[in-house]
Amino acid sequence: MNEEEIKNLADRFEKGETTKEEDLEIATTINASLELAKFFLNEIKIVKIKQDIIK
Amino acid sequence: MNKNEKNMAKGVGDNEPEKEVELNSNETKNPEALSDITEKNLDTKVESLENNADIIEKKVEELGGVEGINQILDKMSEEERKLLQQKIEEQKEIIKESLESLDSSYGGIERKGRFGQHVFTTGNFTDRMWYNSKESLSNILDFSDDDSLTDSVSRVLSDSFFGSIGLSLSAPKKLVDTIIRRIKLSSEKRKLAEMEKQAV
Repeated sequence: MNEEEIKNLADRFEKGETTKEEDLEIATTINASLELAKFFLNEIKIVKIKQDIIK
Repeated sequence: MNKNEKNMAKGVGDNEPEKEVELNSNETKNPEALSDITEKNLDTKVESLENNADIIEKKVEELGGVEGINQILDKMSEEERKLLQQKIEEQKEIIKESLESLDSSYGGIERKGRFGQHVFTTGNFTDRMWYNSKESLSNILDFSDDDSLTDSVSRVLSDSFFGSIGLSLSAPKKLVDTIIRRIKLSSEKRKLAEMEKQAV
């Protein structure tokens, strides 16, 4: 999928013209991003605990 | 259960993966059943998005908001940052591998071509979305009308290795709300088109 195709997909998503399958793919990808954010936050929490102990 | 079905059941990123709808050989032969499966999976995914957004928002709050996270990041040594970066990259790979497995499964949602052939289109999409998630998220979600959001994520996004999680981190509910709103919009449009078709 090239830049133009992504742009096209984004435009259709904006207008509500995507298919169910495309919506599912977008939701899955965003969810993966949220999963990574959760992982990051857990790691940051560990770092914070270490920083608090050193303090 | 074959490998793809197991991956499907695992449900990447879902808090309640057991709800993920599995494909079976009978259902894949029926286009209407396939449509139902997609619909149910979409519902499950939306639920999962909402749950994850809630969890993230609470975690961010516990850490003192984006500002608090920035302070923690600032206090980290170069060595700690490198280690964190490494862990994030490893986790990205794990998630990406799961997504690739799901791609095959969703390919198994099997967008069949006009002549019944299997059409696998998802792999490239996920790959592209994932590797350029910051840009792609920006493309998919135009937040330009909300300057405060742009400002709040800019610090997190300024570190390239946090790029893909920046948007998810600073305003998870807004991100998810936008996605859900658009999914609902397309769903309503499809229903309307279906009704019009039936009326004719």
